[in-house]
Amino acid sequence: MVKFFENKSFFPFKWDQVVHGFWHRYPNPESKHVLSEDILHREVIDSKLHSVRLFTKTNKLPKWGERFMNSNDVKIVEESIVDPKKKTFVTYTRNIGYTSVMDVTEKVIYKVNDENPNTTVAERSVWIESNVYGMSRAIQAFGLQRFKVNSAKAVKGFNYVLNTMYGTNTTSSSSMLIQQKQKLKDTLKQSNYKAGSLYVH
Amino acid sequence: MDECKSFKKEYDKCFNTWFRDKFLKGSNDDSMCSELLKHYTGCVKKAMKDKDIDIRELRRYHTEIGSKDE
Repeated sequence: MVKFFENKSFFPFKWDQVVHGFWHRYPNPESKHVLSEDILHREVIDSKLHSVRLFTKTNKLPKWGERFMNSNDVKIVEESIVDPKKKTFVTYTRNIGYTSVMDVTEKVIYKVNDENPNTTVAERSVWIESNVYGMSRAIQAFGLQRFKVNSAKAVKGFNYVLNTMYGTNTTSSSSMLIQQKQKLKDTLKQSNYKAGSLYVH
Repeated sequence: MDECKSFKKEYDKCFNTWFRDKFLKGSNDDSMCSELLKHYTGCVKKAMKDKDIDIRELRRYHTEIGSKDE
């Protein structure tokens, strides 16, 4: 069984800035769990930049999870394609190893926000699968909850980096952030996410 | 990988300029940083081998790439 979830986040920066900033996302104050970041492969094919990167991240587990995974870190592979003509940037991120316990794939499409072309929208989808007999539902629910918290942190960290690189985009940032917060709240509300644990600034 | 930090630093510096000033402005020629990339990914591959990190399915979503060096 696969759980599916999607949300949108907004960045008050131009697409070019967001895509360039993406390669400088780490370190940031929200990324202390990212231990290493390396390129495994990169090439231009048909005017598009294809990259494969490997990350090592710490993986804090609840007590019950320790019997399934004995390692404190997890390897993540990120494949991405930048299309500068269409102005789309697609990333696929998935864990390597322990995939029978929990297999998480995230797809993010970064594109120009039609409503305000000086800003960028990220459309995020996630698929979570677990094959642990009798536990798969609980593990998927745990994975989904963790994904929601982590993706909000990732957006916050990325915005921090973009602000550092380009300064605050004053023409649109405050209204965009409010809009971003509201949209995220709406999305989370629709998915029965507990508002008390919402962590977006 | 810690042992590849100096290669990574050199490559990232080159890539940063290339990506912003060439690629995003329409140039497809990626030869500018290709030597640095080769040294860097060569180092990473060796480090992965030493650490027994085996990524069997490296490219699940864009399998068409990487045919040149494999």
